[in-house]
Amino acid sequence: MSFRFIVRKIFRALLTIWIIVTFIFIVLRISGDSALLIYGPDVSAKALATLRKVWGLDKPIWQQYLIYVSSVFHGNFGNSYLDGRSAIRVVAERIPKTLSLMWVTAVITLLIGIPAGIFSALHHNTRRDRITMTLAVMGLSIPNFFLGVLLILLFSVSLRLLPSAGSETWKHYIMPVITMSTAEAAVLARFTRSAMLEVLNQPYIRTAISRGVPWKIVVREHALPNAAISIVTMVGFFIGSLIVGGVITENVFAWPGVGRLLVSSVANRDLAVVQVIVLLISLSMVTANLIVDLAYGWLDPRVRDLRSEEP
Amino acid sequence: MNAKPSKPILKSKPEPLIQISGLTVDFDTPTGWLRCLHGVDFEVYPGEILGLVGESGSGKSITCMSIMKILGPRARIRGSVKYKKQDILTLDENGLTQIRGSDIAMIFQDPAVSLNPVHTIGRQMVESIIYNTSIPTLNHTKESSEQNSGKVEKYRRVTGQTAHSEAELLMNRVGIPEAKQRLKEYPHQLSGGMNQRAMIAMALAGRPHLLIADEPTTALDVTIQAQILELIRDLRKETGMSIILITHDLSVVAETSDRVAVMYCGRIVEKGPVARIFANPRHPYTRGLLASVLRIDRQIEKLYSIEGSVPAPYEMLKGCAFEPRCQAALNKCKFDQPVFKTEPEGCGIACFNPQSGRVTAFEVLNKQEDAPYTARQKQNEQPLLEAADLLKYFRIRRGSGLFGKKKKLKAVDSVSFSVKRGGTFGIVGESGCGKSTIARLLLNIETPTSGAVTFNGRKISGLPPAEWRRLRLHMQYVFQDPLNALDQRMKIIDQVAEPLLIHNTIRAAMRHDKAAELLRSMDLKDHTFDRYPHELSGGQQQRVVLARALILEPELLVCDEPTSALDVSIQAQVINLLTELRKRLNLTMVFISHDLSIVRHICEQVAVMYLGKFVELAKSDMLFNSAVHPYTQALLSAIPIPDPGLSRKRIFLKGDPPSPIDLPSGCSFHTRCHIARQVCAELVPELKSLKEGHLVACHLAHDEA
Amino acid sequence: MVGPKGSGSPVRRAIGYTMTNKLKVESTLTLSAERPQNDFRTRIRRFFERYPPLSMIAALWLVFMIFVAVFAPLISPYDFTAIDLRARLQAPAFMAGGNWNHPFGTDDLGRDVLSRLIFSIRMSLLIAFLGTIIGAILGTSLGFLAAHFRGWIDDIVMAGIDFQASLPFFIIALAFLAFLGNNLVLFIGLMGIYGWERYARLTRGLTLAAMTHGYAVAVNTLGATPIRIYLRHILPNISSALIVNMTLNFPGTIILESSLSFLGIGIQPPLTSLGNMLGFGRDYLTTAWWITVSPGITIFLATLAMSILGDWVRDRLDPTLGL
Repeated sequence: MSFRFIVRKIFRALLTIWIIVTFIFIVLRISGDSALLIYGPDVSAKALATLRKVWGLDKPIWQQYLIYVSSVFHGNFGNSYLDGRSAIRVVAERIPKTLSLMWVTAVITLLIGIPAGIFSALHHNTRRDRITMTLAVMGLSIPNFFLGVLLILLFSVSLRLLPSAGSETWKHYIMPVITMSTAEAAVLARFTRSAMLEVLNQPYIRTAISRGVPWKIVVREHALPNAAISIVTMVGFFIGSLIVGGVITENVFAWPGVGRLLVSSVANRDLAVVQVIVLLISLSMVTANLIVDLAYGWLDPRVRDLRSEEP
Repeated sequence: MNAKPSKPILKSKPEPLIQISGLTVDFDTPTGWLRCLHGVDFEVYPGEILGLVGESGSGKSITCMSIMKILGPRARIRGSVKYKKQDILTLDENGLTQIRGSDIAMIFQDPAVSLNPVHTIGRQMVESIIYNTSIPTLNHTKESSEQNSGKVEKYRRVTGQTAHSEAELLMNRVGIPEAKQRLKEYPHQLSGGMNQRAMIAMALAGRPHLLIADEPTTALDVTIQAQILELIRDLRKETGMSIILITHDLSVVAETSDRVAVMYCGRIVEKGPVARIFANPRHPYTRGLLASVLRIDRQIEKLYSIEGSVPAPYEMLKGCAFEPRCQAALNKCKFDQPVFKTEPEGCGIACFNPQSGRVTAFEVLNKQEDAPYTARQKQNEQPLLEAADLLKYFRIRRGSGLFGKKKKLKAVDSVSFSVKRGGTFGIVGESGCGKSTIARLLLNIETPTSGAVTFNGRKISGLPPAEWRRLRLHMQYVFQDPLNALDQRMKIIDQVAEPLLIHNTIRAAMRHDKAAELLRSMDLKDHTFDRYPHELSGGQQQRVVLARALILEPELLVCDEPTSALDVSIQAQVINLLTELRKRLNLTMVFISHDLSIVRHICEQVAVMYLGKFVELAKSDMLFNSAVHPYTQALLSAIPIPDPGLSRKRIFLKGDPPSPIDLPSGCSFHTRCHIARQVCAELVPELKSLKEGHLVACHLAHDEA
Repeated sequence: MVGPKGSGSPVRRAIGYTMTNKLKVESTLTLSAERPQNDFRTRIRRFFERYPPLSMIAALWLVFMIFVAVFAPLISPYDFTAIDLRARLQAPAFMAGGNWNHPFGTDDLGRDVLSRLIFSIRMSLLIAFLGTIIGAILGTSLGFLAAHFRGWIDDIVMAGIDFQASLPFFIIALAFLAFLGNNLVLFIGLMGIYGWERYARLTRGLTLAAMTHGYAVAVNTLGATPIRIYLRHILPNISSALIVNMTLNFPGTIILESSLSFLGIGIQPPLTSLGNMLGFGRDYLTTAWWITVSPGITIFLATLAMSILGDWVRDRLDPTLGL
């Protein structure tokens, strides 16, 4: 992979982050008095006036923008008005809980979704395929907040087997993980299946068969590596939907993570915290997409030495 | 397993290598069973090349894919394929895997997509070697071939190391230079011709007894096609394997095959030795097909054409499938299916009313002067269209992205020409030479980087869009792929009437009448008018495109490969229509094609293009009878001629055309030229007049003169 | 062992032509003696392959839901805001303690769950429809603009597409609602922005392809104006791709809306939507599960029906689109 390819991708990632920062700045400005929004209504008028001066809110808009960007780079987002501490710290202490839930879900999703998709594609148009795909459609149609509620109703309320809130023991993980991975695995299985089917219909598969390569090897050597390329492009989307699923699931099961913090901050308009979380999510998404792009280039030789042709 | 014979087997030894009988294929479609093959019988003898000829939809590819049993789960195959006393169709997946590759190998039409894009050529080659467990000891010299024959080969698993060195040998054998390096490369890094060679090398890995080549050269340029066909002939001679060559091109068959089987609508209609079929075709379809092929070495007034089009599999009627298009049809052809009768010496025919003698009705030999042309020329010396120093650069990002260097691709490099009113100007060249770009520049689909186009004495490059829209009344464009050029969601009649609507030339009520009249004059039946493009055959579609272009009665028609997407028998119809229309409407035409025979047939003046430049420009007769530029000569000699008896001197060009981004210094052809000198690598030759009306860009030609 | 799937494109091409034609093969083919028979089972199988029962049931269900949404005021037994404190948390009719006055029971304020459900369906479908249509129009227009003008306009649209793809839309929506506060118009607008980028990308890509090599070039050389090319030629040609995208986008919009409403930051009382009902009913899970389960099942069935139907529409209209 060429050095240029990597540099270009990193540049693009930085550009996206810059767009997001600008986007937040614009939305903040059109939403009203940002000093008031950031510090909350409980501050005195005098404090507000000094703050405006400190933040440069009395200056022209482009200076405000520069001040904003530089404070973002210094990690200065102001304080959470609910908590009183710096927003970045409030968010940071929630991160481990969220991550612990996410990676368990991610592993389980991959372990179910990808094999199910491959299985379905290899049994295309048979009863096995149809059953797997019907399950997948059902899985992605059930909203995870409703699935969570149903699980609570069954395992906590009726059977009294599992705790419905909190994050202390491994038992606390069971229901949130099932809730999140159902839809994720379903989407992944459907995508894997269509990627596999697409590849299996390519002429090079037919060529490989005609060369006398056994079917198992054709699948392993030719179909899977090509399907993997399209599946890798899904990873960015996959992480995005993990984050969304996490926000909802954390709220259903009172999981003390970033998602729950986000929703309560939105409901209370604790903008400093919302800002930090949105930036955190975009940063991780941009990083994930960057890794995907690089992995894509590494997997697909055609992209590796791409010569984009633009008339 | 026995070793295969090293020499082609004599015809007196009639023990077929593979015997296909009663091969019938049905597809399970949502609307019912669809029969694509109706009992196909043929056999291939050891060491022979059998040409399997047919138009699209004739079932030739399906036949060969059912031999390999790679048709997929929706196909139901009946009949038998006897190979070495066993029926391949009864084998299970394991048995098939053993036969595939090691006994029967196959190469496909489009090498670029038939190789796995994520693995190197070497890896795929090694795979072929390993899974076709024999050690592929290809005979590199005649001596070793004689030694090997008669010995029983040992079969064993090969190690990666041996496989790798074998791969290198195979690559060398199929003429891939720098084999070691090429093995490390990916398919997308090689040219189409190189990929096809690599695919052949993979097919050879198992030392197959039978090679099935499914349109192996259709996707390739004519000079590359000549190389690949030569390679296939050589390999047959060397290894003594049998080859089934599937093609739509009768000329290719004439140049390579020993025997030929002609397919039509899922049946074999005639088969026999090549010489006999070409000299004395008996089935009306074979006769029509042969007569409608254009020849580069002949001038013909009007082409023979088979009327109508190939019926789709679901349209099959009770009687002979060719009956609706047949000129020799009897009454019973409508109701009874003629049975295929096998005759001695591998001949056979399925027809109630076989004919004899060649169809020569339209052939006019030694046509010297085109009388109407000279007459017009005297009347009107004023050129209608002029291109002066036309230049088109595309900027290509090489390497990638922001810091990648932008490179110039010279698609069209200082091209000048003029076309007189009523004249026909042909531009020929291989793919990527920039001929289509010229068409797009003439019609303002692309804007030229510099240079000017003059139409009717008025400079038209750089006019504003509104002016251009008005100009379209006078100049029209015909595309290569008619299905692509038509709007899929609009009725035929509306599409043909649309130009009238856009330019508002006649009253609204008259538009449809005029469109219908024009369509009728092009032999389209009324019931097709309310159809959508995909419901018509390729030939009908192209006639609709022509009608749409001509309804405004333009002065200039630019045709970009108007027949290359069509079948042979349909191609003849469209060419005849074009020549007729040109004469009737006094059209001026720019005709772009890769096919020199068509250009010779249609054009009065021809330019040969190589890598963005004209290398030779002359009157048609002059160019085809006494070409001067070595590229033109090579191009002419690379074109196959449908005459098996003909022997001629051939010039094989070395290698592939260089990338248009990194043009060679001096004359851009010198890297492949067989007569190149020192000066060619240093100086760019100018397009200079050799004699009256004959321009050549070659140092040597001018030196000689 | 599975049979090889490598039959690939040539065969498809060979027989694909016929797939679209509904001509009767049965009566025209000869040699019926040795032909595979179209027995009763084969015909049934083929019928169900073309009209899968599941897709038909899904379609019926959607029609039913649309009917309910349109005629909500006529069907619903009570006003959905009518409070009846004497009948709080009443169980559904089929359970002990329930009666047919409130077939699906009542909620914590004694409001009839069935009536609230009917009006929630109305609200959720309305938002999903409006959102989908706004998204389709916005995305398609931007796609056309980008393809027509290229240059910096194209760059801006592409940057927008990249931006939207780089952040889950749910998070963008949350940020918007946090910064700008919540009202119905903004909320519907947000639902419209959801998914615009897929229409834009689709339209831009297909338009560019048509404008460089396809039928649009042909129409252009006839002298047609750009407006005519876009509306009369390109739009009808890309419509099936757009419709497929709409059917795939629709369930996503429903889930997005109900998720936000469930978290209490979407549709606000006194209005009601399916997610909003579910969110408020959650507090009574131990005592009155029916308040949450009935809207939950409704959302599930709606998205399921739409997904199944979407898959079917995609297979019929544009089998090449993939997922």
